[in-house]
Amino acid sequence: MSNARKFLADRRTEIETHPGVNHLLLNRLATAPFSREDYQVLAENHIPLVCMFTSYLEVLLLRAPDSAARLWLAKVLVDEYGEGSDGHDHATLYGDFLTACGGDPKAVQKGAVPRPAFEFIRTHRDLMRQRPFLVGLGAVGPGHEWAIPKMFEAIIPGLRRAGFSEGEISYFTLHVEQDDDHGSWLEEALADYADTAEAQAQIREGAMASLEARRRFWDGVQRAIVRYRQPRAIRPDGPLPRSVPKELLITAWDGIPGARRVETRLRSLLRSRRPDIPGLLAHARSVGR
Amino acid sequence: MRILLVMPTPFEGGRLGLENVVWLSEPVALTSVGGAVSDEHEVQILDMRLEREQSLAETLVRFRPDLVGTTSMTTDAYQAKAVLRTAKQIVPSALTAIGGHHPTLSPDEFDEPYIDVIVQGEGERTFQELVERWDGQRSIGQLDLSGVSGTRWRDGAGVRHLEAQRSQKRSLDSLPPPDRSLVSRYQGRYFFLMMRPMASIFTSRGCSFDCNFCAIWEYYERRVRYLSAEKIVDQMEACEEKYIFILDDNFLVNRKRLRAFCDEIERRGVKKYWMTQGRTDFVADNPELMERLRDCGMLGLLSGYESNDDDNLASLRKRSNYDKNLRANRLLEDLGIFSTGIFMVRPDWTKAQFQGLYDYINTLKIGLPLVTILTPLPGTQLYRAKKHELVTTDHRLFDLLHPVLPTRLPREEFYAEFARSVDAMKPSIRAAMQAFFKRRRKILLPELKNLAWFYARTWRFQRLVRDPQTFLRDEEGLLNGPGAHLSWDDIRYPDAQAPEPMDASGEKVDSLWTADLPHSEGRAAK
Ligand code: B12
Ligand code: SF4
Repeated sequence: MSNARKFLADRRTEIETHPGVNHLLLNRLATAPFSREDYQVLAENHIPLVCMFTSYLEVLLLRAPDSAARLWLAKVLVDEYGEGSDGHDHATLYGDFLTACGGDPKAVQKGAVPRPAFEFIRTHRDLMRQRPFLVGLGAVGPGHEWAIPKMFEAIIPGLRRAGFSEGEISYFTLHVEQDDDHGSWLEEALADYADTAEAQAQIREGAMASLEARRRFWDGVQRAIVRYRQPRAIRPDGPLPRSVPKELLITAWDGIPGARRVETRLRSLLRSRRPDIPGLLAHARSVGR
Repeated sequence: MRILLVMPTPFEGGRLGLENVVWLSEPVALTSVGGAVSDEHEVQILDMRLEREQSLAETLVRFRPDLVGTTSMTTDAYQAKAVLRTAKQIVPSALTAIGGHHPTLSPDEFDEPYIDVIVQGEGERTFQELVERWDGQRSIGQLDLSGVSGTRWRDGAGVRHLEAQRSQKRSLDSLPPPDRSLVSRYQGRYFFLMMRPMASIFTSRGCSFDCNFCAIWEYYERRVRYLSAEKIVDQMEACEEKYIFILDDNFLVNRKRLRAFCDEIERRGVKKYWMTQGRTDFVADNPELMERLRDCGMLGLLSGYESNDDDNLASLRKRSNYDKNLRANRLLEDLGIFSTGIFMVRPDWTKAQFQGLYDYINTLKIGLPLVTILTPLPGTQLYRAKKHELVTTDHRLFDLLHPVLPTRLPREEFYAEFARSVDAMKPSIRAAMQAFFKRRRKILLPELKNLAWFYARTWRFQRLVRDPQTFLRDEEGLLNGPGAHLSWDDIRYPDAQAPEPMDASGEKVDSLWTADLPHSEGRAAK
């Protein structure tokens, strides 16, 4: 096996066994019944990632050094725009899933992007724009295409258990198939680049940064689902030991009705400072050009 | 060989359960099986209740275990499965094993591609043998546990093999003791109410009673086995912690043994405070022995009072009664032993019955009354009689805080009555605390800091459970939702191996849940 092929095979294993790809939340979705309401929380957090994905590819397309890379990026983009899914782009497909969960895709477009998604998007935006091309390619290539089928394989059985129809979850099932294809095309495209130590380090850096961001994203989604079920439970359950004065302070703060109002205001203020999906998209595309 | 033993969280991380405020016990199942393997293996315990969510994946990546084991009660079943699925994904070469109450009583449910071995019943010897076998087989990656009794294992072709049941007759003294050093990094984090740091030990297994809502007696095959007094006190002496929880389901049996235990404590001059679980009828019938136990360090007792209604107690086959409950609690109060009482409301209760129970608790003056909901847990007689009526099969809702059977009151009203217990029982708690403080001032004064810690956490917890919406949100979409899409067999008893339902009093199993029982309001003591 050539040096590049060996590197890619090792990366595939590293990615498929990465904690971000095998997050406890995903394994919970596979093993426990979650309701449509839970999936709505998941979908509202996830949809911004889906809507933003093409913008990363578009930026990279403009930065691609040669036609081999451009070809792969263009092929994936064509699929994302709707080729192979009856002309429905992937964001629309995901919107259908959100609707099936009881959510409102239009309202989601207008609202501020939830924090876990915002941080994931920001990381990727920086990887695409500020790091060398191969770092960006590592993030959207192996970091996405080799990770997504594995993650969705955990999600799909839970969706079926929750009673969603195959049509409603087609975004997920399509990705298991399409990303397998994208993954193989990608392997071919990358085999040409990944032959120097420097190139390999850049590809790996991008993939790992993307997966680390993914891990933090799933942490946030998990918290959001718990918060939906028990809006005030997170705080009492600190996994780290707390001192007695700290416990008392938290309790006192919780007991003051005014303090809770301040907290809610602060949260909504922070939320209002985060952009919505169209805003993020416009920004990403303007920088790409 | 590297072995990782994981204590799962009962729910998704961050969700609130009893273990956050009332009782967080050491994972004794894991220190027991971990202590049973030879020293040449490296064992680590990860207690996910005290870890950040990402610790599991991080540990799997860093430690690269050859074997990952976890434990499960009914409520933890999904989390335990998620732990093993995660382990298989991140370290595909690792063998995965599960044991504990739920896998023993409902093993088919764990017949998953990512679970290699299901251990049924007592685990020490089984785990020892399993580890030795796998150590010899892991280099070729082919599992063969033929002859290792107490296991259900999956071969390379995915075929599940059922080995013979492991006999649970050995004396407890002959079992290797739990290795508490495996949880030394969590020391100081385990507690019962305000008592911390707290160690946990067990001194017996099984129960000689046959309550129909409890599977302990079937789990241990209707046999009770004891650790000798010397071994118990050895373990107590080895604990650095000031407080010890003796986890036995029913510590207060066998007067001869208890006297030997007291003799040993006195002979060695052991000064530890300990709490345990035991029946109220024993307390009521043995005042002198209870006083002696108190003098030997007994600080608290957790008992199933269950009901304020003799008919109801009889229908649960509790074999105790209202008067014994009352006498027992008076005695505990006099002796300065803190009483924690478990009570059960029935899903078919009316508002008046709730009120009757709260009045009764206030008359009893229980230090910490824990009101739970009668739940047919798998493996119990009640489950077998009632499984077709379940309104959900979601295991998380089998935490005795959600009715899994139809309620007579609309669920909102049922929860409103249930949640009311927080405030309705305050007179009981206040009176009991005052009485306890008066008698045990010397012990409690140095613990004021812990008391403040406990109070702060409880206050926040109470605010949550005082709100019926908390319970309704927990179950939103999970009643006749996804639960309804699962088959009823999703939690099933392995019929082929089901022990014969005990019927000591000659009653038919079907009549255990007496739907036509007179709905008396119970009695509030005078
Ligand atoms: C301490 C305790 C708790 C603690 C901590 C739990 C813990 N696991 O540490 C707390 C307070 C949190 C708790 C809570 C509850 N508990 Co609890 N608890 C216990 C208790 C008293 C002791 C557990 C223990 O450490 N036992 C000692 C060890 C050595 O025994 P073991 O767990 O059976 O382990 C042996 C074997 O099962 C096997 N094994 C177990 N795991 C594994 C893993 C591997 C890999 C292997 C090889 C073998 C193996 O080997 C071990 C050694 O022989 C048990 C009673 C009991 N007898 O076990 C109830 C018990 C486990 N609890 C029970 C219940 C019902 C609950 C609650 C649902 C309700 C309640 N109100 O109590 C809640 C649920 C928790 C939640 N948040 O929702 C039931 C479970 C029934 C069931 N079908 O699952 C039990 C059996 C009590 C009973 N009378 O029925 N509990
Ligand atoms: S509830 Fe208590 S007394 Fe009844 S069988 Fe279970 S352990 Fe024994």
